[in-house]
Amino acid sequence: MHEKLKGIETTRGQFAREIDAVDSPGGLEQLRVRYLGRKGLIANLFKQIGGLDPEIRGEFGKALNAFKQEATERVERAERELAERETLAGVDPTLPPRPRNQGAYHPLTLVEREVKRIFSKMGFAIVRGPEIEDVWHNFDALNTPHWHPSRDDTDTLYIEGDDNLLLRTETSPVQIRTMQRQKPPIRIVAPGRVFRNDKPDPTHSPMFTQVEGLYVDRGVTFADLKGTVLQFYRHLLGWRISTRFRPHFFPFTEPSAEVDVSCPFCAGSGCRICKQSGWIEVGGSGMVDPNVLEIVDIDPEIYTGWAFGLGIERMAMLLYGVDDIRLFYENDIRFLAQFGGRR
Amino acid sequence: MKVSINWLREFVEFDESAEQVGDILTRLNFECESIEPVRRYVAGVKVGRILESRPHPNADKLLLAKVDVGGDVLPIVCGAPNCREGLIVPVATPGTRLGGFTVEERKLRGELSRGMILSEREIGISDDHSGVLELDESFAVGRAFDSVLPADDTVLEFEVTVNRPDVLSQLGMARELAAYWNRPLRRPSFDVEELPDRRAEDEMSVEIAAAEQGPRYVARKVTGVTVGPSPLWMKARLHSIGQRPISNVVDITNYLLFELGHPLHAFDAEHVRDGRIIVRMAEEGERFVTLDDRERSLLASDLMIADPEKGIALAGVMGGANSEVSELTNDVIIEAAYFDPPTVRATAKRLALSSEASRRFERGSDPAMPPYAAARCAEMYRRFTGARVLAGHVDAYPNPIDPPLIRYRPGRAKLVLGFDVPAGTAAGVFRALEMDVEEDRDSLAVTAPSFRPDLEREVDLIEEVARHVGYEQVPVAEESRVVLSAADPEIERVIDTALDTMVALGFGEVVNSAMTSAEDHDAFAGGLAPPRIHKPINPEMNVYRASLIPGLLRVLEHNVNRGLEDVFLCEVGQVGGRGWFGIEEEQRVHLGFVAVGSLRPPAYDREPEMLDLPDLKRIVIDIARGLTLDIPERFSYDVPDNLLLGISVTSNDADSRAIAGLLKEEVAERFGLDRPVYVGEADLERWVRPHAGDLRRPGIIGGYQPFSRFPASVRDAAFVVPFAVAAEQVREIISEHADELLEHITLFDLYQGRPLGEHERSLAFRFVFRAEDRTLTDDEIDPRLRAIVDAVQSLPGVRLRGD
Ligand SMILES: [Zn+2]
Repeated sequence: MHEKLKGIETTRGQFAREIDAVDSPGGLEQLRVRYLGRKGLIANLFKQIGGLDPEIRGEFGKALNAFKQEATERVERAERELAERETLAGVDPTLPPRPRNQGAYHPLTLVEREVKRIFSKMGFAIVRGPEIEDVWHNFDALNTPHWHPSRDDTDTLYIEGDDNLLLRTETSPVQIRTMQRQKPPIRIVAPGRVFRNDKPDPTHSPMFTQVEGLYVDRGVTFADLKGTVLQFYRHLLGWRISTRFRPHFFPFTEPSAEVDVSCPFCAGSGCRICKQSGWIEVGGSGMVDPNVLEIVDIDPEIYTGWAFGLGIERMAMLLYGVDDIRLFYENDIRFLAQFGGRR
Repeated sequence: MKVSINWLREFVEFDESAEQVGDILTRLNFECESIEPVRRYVAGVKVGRILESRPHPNADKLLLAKVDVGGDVLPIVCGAPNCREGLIVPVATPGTRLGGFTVEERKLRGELSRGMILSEREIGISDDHSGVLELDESFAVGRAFDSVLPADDTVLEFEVTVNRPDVLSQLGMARELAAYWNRPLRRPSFDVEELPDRRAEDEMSVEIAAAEQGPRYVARKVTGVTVGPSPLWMKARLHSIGQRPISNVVDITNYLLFELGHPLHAFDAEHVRDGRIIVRMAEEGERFVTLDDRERSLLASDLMIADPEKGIALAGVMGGANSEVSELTNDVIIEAAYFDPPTVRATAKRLALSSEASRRFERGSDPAMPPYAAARCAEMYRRFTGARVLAGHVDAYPNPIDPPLIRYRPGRAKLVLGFDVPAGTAAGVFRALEMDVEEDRDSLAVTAPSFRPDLEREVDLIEEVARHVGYEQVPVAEESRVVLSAADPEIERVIDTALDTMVALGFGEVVNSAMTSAEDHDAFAGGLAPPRIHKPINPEMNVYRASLIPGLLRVLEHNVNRGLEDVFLCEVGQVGGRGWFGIEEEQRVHLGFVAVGSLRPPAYDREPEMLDLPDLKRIVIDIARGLTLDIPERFSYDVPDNLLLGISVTSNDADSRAIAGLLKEEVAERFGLDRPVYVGEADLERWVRPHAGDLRRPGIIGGYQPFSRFPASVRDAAFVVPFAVAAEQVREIISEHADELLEHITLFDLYQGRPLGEHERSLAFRFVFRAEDRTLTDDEIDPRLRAIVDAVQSLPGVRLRGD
């Protein structure tokens, strides 16, 4: 390369280093004057053109013009960058997020939705029914003997002025209503609030939330019940859960069973939550009593069915470690806010 | 139901631990609730005789006794008032452990004491601590007490389901265990030692005048009863299962109640006129004084035990004061009967006289049991009260009750249980449970035992098989069935979506009791009519809610009182009766909300934006949008009296309904709230899109509308509007005078103040014109805008701003 062209390259390299180092508008102005000013380095280089060999004059002029244009653009860009930096100086990106009213689901809703989701996956339709029920749907049709203590007003809350109306004690009447409307196959799950004449204490609430599943079809057996209940609790509580069925008496079902799940907290070895037993009682179940099927005109010689139920509060207490059922109904935001907006 | 391990062992042989027994019975339907050791302090205790008892020289209430414990004579300081010379007593010698301490030789008020004379409570056989236990001559002095009473026992408590009266006894529980283990059940066996020359039937008769309510009545008679304490072992057993020993005559019937599960009653024979017992219905209004000395008024539906002159007992419920056994009693008539369960239940319930006996009769006692129970009772009277037993009994049983014959098909059992139980296995279970079984070719003919009122149908037998084979033997089916179509009702989606919208808007969901107070309903709004609850749990829960808002306001109060400023709460739940919408309704699902404070809370660089009515409108619209409903175009401002101002929504389908607004100050104050409170309630069932259920495509509602791809032309115009003209009026007149080229209008600026008049404001609208098929020209737009502006200016007092 010609000596003179090398001179342009040297100046260009020097400019590039200097402009990268510029950090103030004053410094940039000095730089601009030094290179691009009327008496600046680039103007000086232009003055040399007259004294050059004609054979390199063209090449020199071209290279110098390119450098001048580049230098001008770099200075303009640096001006913009410095101006932006100026405006950002008042902005602090570490400021905290601004507050907003944070919506939240009630923990009972979160658990109920989880339960509904699992039942939906298993092909159950969700059905609801009235909280104020009649005696026939709540007791008679469920095969509750006339002498059964659950019918007493010490156990059940009746509506004043009508002996026939009560606050339902189970969601099972929804099953009756469904079977009156629809014939097998039936797969439904009925969530809802139920009521008992209980004084509130850490483990009792006069209102609580129940979910009951019902499956009626040809060839539905106790073995199916056990299979479905196991699947359900594995989905809800984890895949290591096992279930245990103990005989019990419910008017609505026969054979009837209480369902225990192996304690999810200690894997069955015994802890405070399962009272060292390794098992936690979670609900009732059984094969729908033939009397119930007959009441709704379903032939028990052709169809069989199972039902099982659980308490949402009980599940929520287990899943979230809540030790007093009354917290769910006190609705203190310090409690509710802990469950967040998760659906 | 409490069960003693020692007691059970009389009826079935076992080495299994109490824990194992608890587990087995739990698996058989009887949930074990507790296992408690019964501690008796008998090791180191000896039978002694008080040789001498004199006052302690240094203490008024203490005595100084010399007690012969067989070889050794111990000086003992004793505080019991009955400590007297000649008594045979239990004595704890030094080194004996009693409860929390060890008996030691020591000086009491200066006198040496080398042991302790014990009360029943100190030994652990009753709660009696009134004096030292007085033993009879059958206790040989010097004998170790642990050969008299077993040292320890274990008592298990079980939950017994209401269908199983047969296990409300030691024998019943033993029967279940024997069947489970396949070991023999040993019923108590005995011979009654009877008087050869006096026959019960010569001195007594039973006449049944109400055979349906009193199907069977057996009576026995004993003579020469001496009332006194029961034997120690009997006291100990009763005490271990939580019963208080009283006297031999009372304790024997009580003991048999818990042993056999059959209630018995003892009459003083002297007060049964002519020895004639009549089982009859009470007369309407008949007066009768029961054992507890209370006079009862009876109904014709109450069953009485009577003599020819008077009632002597309320059958199965309580005896009469007039025939009660007392210290003076010589002869006793023992009643062992079977009464109709509903009859006993109705009487016991009406008179609130529930007892261990009535509990068993109510659920169904064993109609075959009375002769056996009466004989056992008579024999125990003979042994423990010194009485003699008249020969035979009187048994009135006009219409014997036949236990049902039930057909059991193994194939049916498989259909219910999901696995095969061989017929032989089932027959084994039935026989172990004392049923009669005859094997047919493809079924079993099973006769239920008389003590099992719960066995009536085939499915009852299937349950017995499942119970005794074990629920754990039922296989776990793999889920392999085809999933059925299962469309949820539309309301389910509405509930979830409405709640999702509220939470996204910043509302926190609450769950309130549906039982709330009538007072709160009245405080919230006039004219609400919530269904009232009969016998409410407490006055705060005396109605079933007709509106969600009273409960929400209480939660608001609770949280505001805890210092929170911005509280936005919502709830979804059922309501009934006449609510805020003023209509008497079936139960419906409502959404309610309450809010105080700012929609956008203040931040370090921002003022709060307090909630107001336009925000409420936005909330209502957001709910509708979430449900993909037609967005309400119009709000009605006609709202209930308890709101200062608000909106109600009657959407395009004319039926949707919601009310929202600002609560009047006086209403808020009734709920302890001293700041603006916004409330709203919507009937979600009316927000279910009509006919959505018929579309059979849940969750997908509405459809695509083509939109114009041509540019819009935008024009602005501001109007000065007097307060008397509402913004909505201006909007309406614009809509009336626009054609389809006006795509939409927005109110983009609202101004009040100078230079406008005092009762004026400026409303600035943005008009967006667009055609579907072309770019609009000024020639098309200008006349349309002019027509609109002219129309708006025709409103009284309105003028175009800037003119
Ligand atoms: Zn555990």
